Amino acid sequence: MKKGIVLITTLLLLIGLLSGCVSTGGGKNVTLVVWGDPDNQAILEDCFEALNAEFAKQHPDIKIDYQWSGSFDGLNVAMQSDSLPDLFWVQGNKSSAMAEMAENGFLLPLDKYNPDKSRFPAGAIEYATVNGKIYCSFPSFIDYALVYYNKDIFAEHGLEKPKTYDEFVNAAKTLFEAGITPFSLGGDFEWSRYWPIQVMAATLANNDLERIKSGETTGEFPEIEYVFEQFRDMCAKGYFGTPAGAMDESSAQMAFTNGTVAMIFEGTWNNSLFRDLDFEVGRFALPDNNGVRAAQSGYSNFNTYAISSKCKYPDQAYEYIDFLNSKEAQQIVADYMKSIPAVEGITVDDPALAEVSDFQTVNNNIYHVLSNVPTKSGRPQDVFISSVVADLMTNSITAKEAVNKIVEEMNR
Amino acid sequence: MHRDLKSISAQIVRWIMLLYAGFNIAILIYVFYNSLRPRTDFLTNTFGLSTNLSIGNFIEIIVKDGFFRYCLNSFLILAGSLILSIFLSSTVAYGLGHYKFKFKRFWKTYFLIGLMFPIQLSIVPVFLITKQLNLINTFTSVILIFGSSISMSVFLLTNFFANLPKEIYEAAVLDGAGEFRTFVQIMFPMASPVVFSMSILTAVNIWNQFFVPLIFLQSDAKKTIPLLVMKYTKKLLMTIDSAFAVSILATVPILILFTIFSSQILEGIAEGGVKG
Amino acid sequence: MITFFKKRPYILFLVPGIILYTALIIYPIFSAMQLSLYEWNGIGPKTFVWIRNYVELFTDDFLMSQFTNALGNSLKLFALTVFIQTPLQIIFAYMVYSKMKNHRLAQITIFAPQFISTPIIVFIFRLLLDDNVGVINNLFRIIGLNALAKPWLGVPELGIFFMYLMITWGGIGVGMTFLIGAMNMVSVDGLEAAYIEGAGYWTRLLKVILPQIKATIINLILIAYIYAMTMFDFSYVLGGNTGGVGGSIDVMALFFYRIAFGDSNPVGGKISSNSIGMGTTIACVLFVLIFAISLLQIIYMSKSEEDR
Repeated sequence: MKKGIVLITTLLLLIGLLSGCVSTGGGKNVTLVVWGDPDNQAILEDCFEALNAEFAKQHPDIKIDYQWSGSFDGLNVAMQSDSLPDLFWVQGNKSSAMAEMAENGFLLPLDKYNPDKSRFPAGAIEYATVNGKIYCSFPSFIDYALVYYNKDIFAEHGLEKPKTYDEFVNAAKTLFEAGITPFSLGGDFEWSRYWPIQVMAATLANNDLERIKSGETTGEFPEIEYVFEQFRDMCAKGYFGTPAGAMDESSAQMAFTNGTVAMIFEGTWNNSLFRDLDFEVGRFALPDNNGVRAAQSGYSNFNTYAISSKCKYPDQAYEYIDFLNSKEAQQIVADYMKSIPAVEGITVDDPALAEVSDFQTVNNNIYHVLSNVPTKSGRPQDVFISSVVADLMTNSITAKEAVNKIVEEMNR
Repeated sequence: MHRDLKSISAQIVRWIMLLYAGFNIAILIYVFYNSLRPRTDFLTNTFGLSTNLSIGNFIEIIVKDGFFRYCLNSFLILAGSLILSIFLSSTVAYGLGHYKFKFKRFWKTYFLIGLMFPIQLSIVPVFLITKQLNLINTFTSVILIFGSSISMSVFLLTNFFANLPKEIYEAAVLDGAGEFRTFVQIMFPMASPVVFSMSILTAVNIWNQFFVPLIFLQSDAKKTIPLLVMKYTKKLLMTIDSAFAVSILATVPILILFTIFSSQILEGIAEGGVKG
Repeated sequence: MITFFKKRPYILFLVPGIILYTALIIYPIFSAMQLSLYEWNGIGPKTFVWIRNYVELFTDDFLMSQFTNALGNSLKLFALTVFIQTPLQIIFAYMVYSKMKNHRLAQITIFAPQFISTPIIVFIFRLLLDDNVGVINNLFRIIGLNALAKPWLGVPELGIFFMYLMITWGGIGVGMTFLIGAMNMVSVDGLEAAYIEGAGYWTRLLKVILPQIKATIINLILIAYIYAMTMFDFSYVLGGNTGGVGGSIDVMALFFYRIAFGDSNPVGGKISSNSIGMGTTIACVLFVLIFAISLLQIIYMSKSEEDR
């Protein structure tokens, strides 16, 4: 009989569990569920704790239930089952995702609240806009990819921060001939293996990118081909290790932080990774042969959030967006993340800031340019990022073939 | 019996096994040692001897992340799922194994289908169901999913019940016991070694699952240990100190438990595996 | 009513299981499967296209090359299990079964990684094989074999083998323990007789024990097949959504997942506006591949049961 009792207790327990777990909302206060940037919880957590504490001070009647949804998949599933949280993190025009969400009616347009645009540059407003409507908080920091280098290794080999592209290539050559791998590359992951091309394309192929942007999608693109050729060539020679890029993202970063390789192409969003190392880290935006250093257009998505169109308390949710758009909130982000401000009046206390802000022009970002090519069924940005870059890295297509592949997709 | 175990070939195999065992222990010690080091120390002086070992990384995980809450969450999910899964699979397996009826082979195959799809496939429909039941972000949703994944257990248990001698059942029925009482008091206890073996394997599987909790549990207060591990192994370079510490915290207590109960567990699995 | 159940008591035993299992496992599968007949990206409008997705899967070069690559890798995992892991498990099990010295220690430590979760296993292997912080590479450098010090996990041709190594390291113990159990059931008389006839230690394993534990081995092989076909987590944690460089560690479940849900783009489905439609199509093909083999096994098992 004892076994029977166990079984019944078990069942009761289960039923209790089933009925007891239904969450009980209520009270007069409004609770908003917010999903943060799923990939960067460990990095952004402290920053958002501070932000949410400040928000709570300003709006005691709105409770923020800030969650890290854990992965892009969570957002996907929530979308497909129509159960998005009230607010969630979006990447603006950095990928086609926000536009697709907006076009399919998942996002609440914010224009009726008249967000104050006066403090933001045109690019930041463009970032938040889809088909003329604003859908997310404005980005307030700049992000771009550049070269981080080990000043000690450079000094040992009599090298200085390159002033032109040729000097940069020569520096890599000198190091390589001295037996030092010039770069590490996280070739395992489609984004990290792409940074060198984003950097080089902005510096060396901006005219071609402008042409594509203005609607020219056929013909020759010699500058892009040159960039692909350079990247492929460096990979084939072993400048990115042998086999080229045979690492995951963090191993590549570790190769740099341990002083095994001399340089790494990385984004400013990872600035904090390269602090407190036992050698001196330098940073430079890649110069062209006239010595003009170029950044790529792009904003940090750390603090850009959108409201779900199904949100029950859109007015309160907008308060959070408005808060993220405020100078105070941006200052908090700056204090924690040390990003490069894109708006006036934010102070950042970081010695590296002078170096990362040392660029003369902001050129195009190749992925964004390709994402915005109007095609019927082609997805040039996807073909580019998921197959062309890897093929160049493993030397399995020529630069010419790579360009053709993209051109073909642009005209599909 | 095995007097010739001393033969050279057997001794070589034995030493390979012991080396293997030693390697596994060494890895754990290595991870543990590194979990005591600050991040920059590991990154810049990977193989050097560290001078400032501390339990700071552990304190960080335990206090700041509230590690024990993750433990409790994992444990509640495990307990709930296991109970549900044992109940469902043993009744189904008994029904399938013990009784004779039409379309039995159909039902046997039916219960195997669950093994043949990646769980990711059904995630959206399941999410819709749990949404309708108002169970999103609750343990119940995860428990129901894990508890209903009974294909493997049914597969193992059905054979066991089918091979039980019919005389025992008949004696019980002659004594006037009902079907359900016969099952609960006589047949189920006889299956306990198989159930135990199966439960251990199911438990390990559930404990380490990350995909389902990832999708269904969004708030930090509900998350399980593997999700905490993922949080720190995602951007490894930034958080490698925490990654070490959380790996140790997630692994060592379980391994200690396993070592203490190893003879029961291993023998249970061995015995259950054959009978099933 | 009561007599109906009295006559068919099995129904009461089956009902709770059937209800929950059907609602949470079978129904979602079939509800997803019917999507394979639609063109759909998960959020926009759905169009019924009959079997066009299946035709496209088998005629489109881009999809087909990924399909054959992923299937090839899954089959490689399966082959490695059958030809390397299973023999190892049998040999190890035999050593433990014959109670070699320290067999307990060996059995416990070989089984223990079973309790370690996938992200941690991958993390541990990174610590061993990484180019910079990897212990093994460092050992190579210390003993002067600099040529052997490489970012091993990133060499595309070897990716699948290292992944297999991790899977085996984590999972070798269960099958081994099952086999020990099976060996314990083998009658001692036969073994004793063989010994007296002069059969050596390994000959007894081959001639006496193996034939008697055949059923367990076949079960293990079937489970290995299903595992290789549905394995997802190691590929995903190790190589991300694309399954490593050039799909070197891509497997069937990941291929399905990538097409259905994509990665860099939260809306999913990178290459087409038909992500969910094509993804579920792949899953259905995968199901057929698993189902066919499992059915063979079930038929074989019930036949040998009748023989008994």
